[in-house]
Amino acid sequence: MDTLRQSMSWMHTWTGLLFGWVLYFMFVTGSSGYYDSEIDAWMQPELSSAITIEAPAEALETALERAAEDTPGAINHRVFLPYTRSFSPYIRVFSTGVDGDGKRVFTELALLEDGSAAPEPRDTAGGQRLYRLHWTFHYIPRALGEMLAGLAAVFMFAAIISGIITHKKIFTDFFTLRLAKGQRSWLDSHNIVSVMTLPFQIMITFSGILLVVTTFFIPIFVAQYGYSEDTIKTVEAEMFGGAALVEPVGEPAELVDMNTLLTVFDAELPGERLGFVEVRNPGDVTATVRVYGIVGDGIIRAAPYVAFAGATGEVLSVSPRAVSDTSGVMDVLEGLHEGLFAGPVLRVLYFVSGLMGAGMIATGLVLWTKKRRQKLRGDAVAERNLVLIERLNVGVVAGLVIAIGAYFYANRLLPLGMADRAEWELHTLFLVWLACIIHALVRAPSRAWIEQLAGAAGVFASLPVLNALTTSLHLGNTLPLPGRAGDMAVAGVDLWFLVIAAGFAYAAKVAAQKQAAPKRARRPRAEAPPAPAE
Amino acid sequence: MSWIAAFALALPGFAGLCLSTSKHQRAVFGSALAAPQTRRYRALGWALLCASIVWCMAMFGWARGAVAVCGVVTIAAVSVIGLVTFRPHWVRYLCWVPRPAGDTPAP
Repeated sequence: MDTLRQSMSWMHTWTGLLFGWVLYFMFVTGSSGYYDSEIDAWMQPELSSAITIEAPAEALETALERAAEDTPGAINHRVFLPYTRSFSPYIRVFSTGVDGDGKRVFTELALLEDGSAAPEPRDTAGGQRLYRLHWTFHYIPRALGEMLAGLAAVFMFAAIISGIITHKKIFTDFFTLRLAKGQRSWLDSHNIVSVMTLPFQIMITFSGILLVVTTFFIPIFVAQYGYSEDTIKTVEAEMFGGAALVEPVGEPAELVDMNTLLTVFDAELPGERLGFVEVRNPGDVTATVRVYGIVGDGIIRAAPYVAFAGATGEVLSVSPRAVSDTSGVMDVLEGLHEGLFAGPVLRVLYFVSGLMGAGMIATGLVLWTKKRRQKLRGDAVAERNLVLIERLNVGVVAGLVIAIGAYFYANRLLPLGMADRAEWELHTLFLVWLACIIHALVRAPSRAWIEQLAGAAGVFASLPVLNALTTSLHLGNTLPLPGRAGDMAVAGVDLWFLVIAAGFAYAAKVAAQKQAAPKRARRPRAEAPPAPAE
Repeated sequence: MSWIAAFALALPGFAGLCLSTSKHQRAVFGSALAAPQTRRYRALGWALLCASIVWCMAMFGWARGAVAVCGVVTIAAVSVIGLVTFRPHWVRYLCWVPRPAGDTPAP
């Protein structure tokens, strides 16, 4: 057992460092995804909170008429109705058309219930692109990003399993946090955040691997189907049953009225709410209509639907939420990963667990350097490398928090008419992160920790103030009070900013205390400052 | 309400488990407790924790309940750790078992 534990300890240490920084980035940006809609709302202060649709059937028909005028000859239209935490507060229409060269053209509309154009919000990368960073990494091709994310997740899984085996006293030390004992305190903190959130960490990592697993199938696809631009399309159509498009015959026909279809939808899929409607070959006698439920309404991450013949209203097929046991397992794991089904309380728990995952990696990274510092014994080269890693840790861990704060700053301060504004929000994030890493490289690590932790606290504490100075969607207006509904989505984001600021202010204070009173081993417990908590 | 009840069961549950270890007994009470009282804390701790799990399953269904349990247990356990680290004396108010008759504290 001891040799297994030792070999696992070696594996845990090295896989941890190798992918630690990547995984920290994935955990931080990924956690933000549990509030993607709320961040979208914060970053688009021009938008109202979601409109309520009074008459869905009429709204769908109006939207489809608008889409038909807007993109004549489209292959399909998809109309999304707004609901709580939907990606847009308006009715959204996505149409696929074909241009003169036979290439596909995608257009989209944002509409109000009466079919008029919805207000245009500022150009922003929003919560959507912030959380997408956790597998796209922004500056690299999509396929490469997915591969990197998948590899990192596999290593994370190895680190979790080897970490459990390495942990000597998982039950004896369950409640133990020894303060001001240097490496011991860091190990305790690392163990606590890891063990407390273990079910979440195992779930999120394993389901994360599954979410990008098809990326690793590409060599298999190529071996089976040959290499061409259409390979992936062919495979996807076969794997996921992307229904073969029926060619329109050019004979015009009206769609049956939506009310009839929605009534059948309710009868065929009881308990499912209306999410979106897809019309293929609109205006043609071959038109089909699929009425979908809402993905996030069940723990199984799937959109159930009823498919109709558009001209007659005949039911072609019904696809419930759970199609088969195998796809059910996959869909549940993906559903658990994204947590779309989570209500407000569970969403807080998801977010906190995600942040504790980031804390697990951050404490692990610090622990890595502490352990090695003990074994240096005057080796100058090893010390130089270690100091480099210590500096990078500061820039990566604390710097990323400042950078994400800067991302929100950019949303408020970049000129509204700026070209590629959304891109520049993301550039701001990465430029500020780079600046933090450079700052960490030129400052002494202990100073850099204090300055960047305090910086992170300052940036997040000032965000609600910046919000109040630049928009009317500040806490004074958004907090729900007796007699006014407020806007809890936007208020929640501001409140989380303050909580995050408080956490980092505390961490900065602890780091400063430690700096002020260094190297006094075995201090009495009462006056000992606690270890910095992420 | 369902959430508050789930926490209200898990929190003293973890406090009971925490108070069944001699290390934390010393931090909370100043000295280790005798074996019978330790056993009572452990039994009560597990019972409350199980009750919290059953409650979540009953309230949210087995699928959502399982997710809820993970979250509730995480927050409750972290809260107990925070208390026993920074305010150890407060933990005794979270969970209480009577001392068995004729029981004397271990030296």
